[in-house]
Amino acid sequence: MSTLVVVKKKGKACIAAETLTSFGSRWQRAAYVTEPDKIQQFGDNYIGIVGSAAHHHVVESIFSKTKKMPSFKNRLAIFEYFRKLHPRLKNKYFLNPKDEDDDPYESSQMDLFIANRYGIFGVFSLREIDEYEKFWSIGSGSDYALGAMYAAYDQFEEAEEIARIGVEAGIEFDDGSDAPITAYNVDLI
Amino acid sequence: MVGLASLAYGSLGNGGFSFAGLRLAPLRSALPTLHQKNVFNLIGKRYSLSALYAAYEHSDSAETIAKWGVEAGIEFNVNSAAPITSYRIELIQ
Repeated sequence: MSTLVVVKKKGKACIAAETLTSFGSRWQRAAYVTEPDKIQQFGDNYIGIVGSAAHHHVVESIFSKTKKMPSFKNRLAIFEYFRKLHPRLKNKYFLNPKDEDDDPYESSQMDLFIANRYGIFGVFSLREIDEYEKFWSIGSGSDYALGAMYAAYDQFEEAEEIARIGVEAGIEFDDGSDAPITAYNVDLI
Repeated sequence: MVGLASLAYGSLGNGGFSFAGLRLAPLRSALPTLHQKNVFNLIGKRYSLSALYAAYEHSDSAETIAKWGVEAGIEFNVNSAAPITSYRIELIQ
């Protein structure tokens, strides 16, 4: 579930998300938990994750033990980090790497966004890495967010305004997304 | 925009298309009454719906809003493509 977006415009990047967690037919709204935020900050990086709530703890555990944060400065640097992380996920965090039968690689099971001073990036389960020039979205509300940000991108100057419209559209139409919204901004190099 | 309705389509040869339509009441409500129909199937609706949501308060033209909806479908949905056709109707007040 979830609606998570990243936007890049005029030297700024924004990562934003809604805060609903759902377990089957049960919603856990932000007011019921201490840390409903789907975006975490590690050093100069903001990392937003969708999918299993366990991913949040795994990522927090990994980066809280990391003495020097990786720079995540480009697609290759991010790919190499997650390639080396994959065996650790299996051995230390009990990741089940099995996904589809015809997958060419083992799955790391996580879809996440990274926003930092170098740009906005997507990391997907087979360790595919994308860098975005305008905006993108992941999660169950992502189609709604994409359509809204497409309509909004040229109408607004601020990356955060565009990001919030994307997440708002997810909240408006997707039953796995709900307010409040959290958003974080980064000045790009 | 008040008293005008607009329909717009993005079409593709395989029979699929995105459809966005707005029926606008004389007094604006918080959200438009929105109809999305397709004789064959309903595709591209998520992109269109949310683009209409984002555009609605930023244009006074029903046709412009409807076109934003279809353009979003064309941009992201593999079963939608340009050109867009649109039609305007004067509503009874």
